[in-house]
Amino acid sequence: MLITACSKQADNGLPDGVQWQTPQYSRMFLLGVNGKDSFIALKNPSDTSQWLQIIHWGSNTTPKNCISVQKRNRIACMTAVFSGMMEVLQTETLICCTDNTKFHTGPKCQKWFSKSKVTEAGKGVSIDMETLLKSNPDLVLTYYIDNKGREEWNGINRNGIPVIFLQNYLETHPLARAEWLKVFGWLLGKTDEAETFFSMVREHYESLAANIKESNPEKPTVFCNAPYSGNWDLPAGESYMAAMFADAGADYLWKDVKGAGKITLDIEKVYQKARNADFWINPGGCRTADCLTQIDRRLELFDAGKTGGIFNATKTQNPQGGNAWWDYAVVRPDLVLRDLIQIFHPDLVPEQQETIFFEALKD
Amino acid sequence: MRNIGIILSLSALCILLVWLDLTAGEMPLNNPVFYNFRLPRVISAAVAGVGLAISGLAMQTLFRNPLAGPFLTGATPGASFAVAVFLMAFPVGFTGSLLQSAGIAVVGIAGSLLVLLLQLFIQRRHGHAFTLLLSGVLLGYLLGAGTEILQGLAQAEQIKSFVMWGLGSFDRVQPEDIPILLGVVTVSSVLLWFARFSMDAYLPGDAYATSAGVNVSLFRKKTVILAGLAAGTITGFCGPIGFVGMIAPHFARGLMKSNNHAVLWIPTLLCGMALCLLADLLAHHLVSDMTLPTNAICAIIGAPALLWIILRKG
Repeated sequence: MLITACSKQADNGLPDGVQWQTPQYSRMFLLGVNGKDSFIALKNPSDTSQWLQIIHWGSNTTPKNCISVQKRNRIACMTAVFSGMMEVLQTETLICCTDNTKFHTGPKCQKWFSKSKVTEAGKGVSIDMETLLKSNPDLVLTYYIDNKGREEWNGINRNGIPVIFLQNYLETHPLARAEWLKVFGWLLGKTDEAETFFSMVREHYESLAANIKESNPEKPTVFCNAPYSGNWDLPAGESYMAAMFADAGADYLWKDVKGAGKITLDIEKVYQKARNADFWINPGGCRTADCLTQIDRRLELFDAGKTGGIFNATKTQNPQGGNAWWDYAVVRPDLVLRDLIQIFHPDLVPEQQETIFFEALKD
Repeated sequence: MRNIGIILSLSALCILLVWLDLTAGEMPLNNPVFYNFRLPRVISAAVAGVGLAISGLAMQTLFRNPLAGPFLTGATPGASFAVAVFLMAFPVGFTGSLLQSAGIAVVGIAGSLLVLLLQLFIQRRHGHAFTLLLSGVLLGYLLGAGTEILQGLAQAEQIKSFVMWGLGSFDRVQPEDIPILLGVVTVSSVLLWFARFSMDAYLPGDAYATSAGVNVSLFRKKTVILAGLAAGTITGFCGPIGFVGMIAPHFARGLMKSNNHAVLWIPTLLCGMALCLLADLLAHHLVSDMTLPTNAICAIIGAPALLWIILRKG
């Protein structure tokens, strides 16, 4: 099977004659078919009117300025988010190289990593390109934060290995982020499995959100994260977490802040607004109340701490620092939503179970 | 009379800035926010301003260089490197322990002092002030490179801790930290004040200082340790706060038109205090519903001011 990754077209347009399917939630990729050829167009995150990469799969024609990959048996999967998706599609055994195996928490991935000789090309945030090349991948799946980070991959491209940038972390809706499973399904020949799995996730998520909307419960106030050196990053009102809080029937205190990124506030400003909030979600790396007050003693002044309203997504954290929150939760936003509803409105959860990702802070 | 007028004006400016910083955003005094967050922050801004300014004045004299300051002598890069080592040493998920919270301040001080002790060792071998400045710059590069390598090996959360610390903030100083910060800055400043006549004699050259009865070697050691202790403590607690240590003595010299340290002392510390309070005020209230990095505000105020001074002097 031939895969062709096309760089941005000169006219920034899409190839002719392709029938494009728009995903339901994501606004950052398109799936296309033209006869026996398949396409995925990935939008440029910094300018969504432009295409970052147009990926072609087929054997009939190789479009201009395209890189062909004859094989996809060995994949360099450079983040746990992607290995989580590959595990869902039962394709984790294609992984030949990754960033740091200890952060990939999926049981099948862990089994594969311990059984096979998967190369670790990264320590920390840096990737050793030479080590990555030695693992002899057919394809690299990665992401970048800024253009400088993107250019670091040029060396891999020059060696004839296509590098596909999957920027799903920039999606602002939980289901949009999970919908990238379809991209993996396409790349790995598991289109039907990806469609089926995503449909299941979408239906579960939507039914939970609809149930909350219909019940229209009183919305508890919520805020999140923790300060680092006096500075407190909070998701803006159009962000992934803000959408999740809204769907879970909570009143996120910074919901009116425009944008999908983050805002940085000082601890005083956060306290002024959130001191009486009902819930505090994801307070840094802390699993105990003691740990939280050791960051800053003043954090014990928040009411949420006095009423047992602090929950952290550390339940699935392993001793090495890996956490299913960073991989499995991305592909299962429905389970994250169910956890949050169970925290905010325990009486409204249809299937009463233990939370999967979140745990209350211990004393 | 003119000098007293300037000191009174600077004092009034500081009082005004303290008042504005304390009460901005309609902050009632009976609000718990005031005592737990606002007051410690404003006190730490004022104390850090004094400490950095006095440290800067002492280092400019010691190195006989108007650009000397905690950054150029290696004190701040030393603190930054030590903090980076400390933060990277903790596994991801362990952030937020007591060791980390108090430890950042302690290792910041230790890093700064270690660099300055190394400086003293170099001074013993090659005692010229120029050598000290050059070695400070080179150590700064070396430690900066080490910090970058550590960042390359670190995990995202560890880098975040370090980056946030590097933004500089008086918010992270807690009420119980204030006595330590105040104590170290007060002791350093007072002990340096006692060396003001030695500083005057040292400024024209080693030979002049020796003829005036100054033990040059001992003077350098004391000045390096005291100035480094103040700068390291402030960097450890508040993160790197740039330009204040360099620019405050220049403002004081410009206002007092003197190089006499007894004359410059109070205006320098008042200028430092005013700069930090102004930076803190702007960082918190320039943009509503957002907090700007204090270190960046200091640079925005300090860099053009320094350029203006340089251009004015021709």
